[in-house]
Amino acid sequence: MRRLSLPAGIGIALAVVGGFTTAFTTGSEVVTAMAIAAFVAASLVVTRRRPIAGRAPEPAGGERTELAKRAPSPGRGVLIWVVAAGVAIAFELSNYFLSPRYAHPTVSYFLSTAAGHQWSRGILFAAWLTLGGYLVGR
Amino acid sequence: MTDHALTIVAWIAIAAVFAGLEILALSSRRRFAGIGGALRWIGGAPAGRLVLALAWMWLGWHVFAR
Repeated sequence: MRRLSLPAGIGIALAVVGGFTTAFTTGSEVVTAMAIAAFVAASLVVTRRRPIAGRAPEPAGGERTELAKRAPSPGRGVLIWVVAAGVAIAFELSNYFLSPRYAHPTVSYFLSTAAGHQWSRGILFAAWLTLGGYLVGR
Repeated sequence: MTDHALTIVAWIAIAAVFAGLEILALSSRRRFAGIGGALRWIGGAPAGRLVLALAWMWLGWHVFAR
């Protein structure tokens, strides 16, 4: 319980403070840098606790574990996600280099619009932290 | 239709594709990888984990700081 409550508390505090900051200010840089530092620290802790990286070896006798049976087969569907992400990134880059910027909005346009209020900025900050927590906890 | 509107429609189409792929994954009962499965697969290797971590950091810095 303590393991969960401390990171959650830090995350909520950062999201609240991050919601009150404005982009391109020292405050926003400090809060974002603190979140990134917390992410790096948590990643290091998790990596040290789980020294075995990568996929578990096949057990003797050739029987697959229950987890391995339930997990998606390597590459099944992943390629489609990679292609979809590639298309999105290519579209983002093409919009980034086209002008005028208003005629070709990038993802930043939507995110900046969405983060235009303190409450929505705080929610976006919390979502970003949650994604980071997911990446650390994998 | 203006370029602005056309680009937004294209973004909505891309988002719809992502949502459709995730719904397909959920309805296929894990036979097809969802976004979580794809991230797990990419993060299965140290280089993939590094890429995901850097992408997360860049996203946060880009949206909230700069």
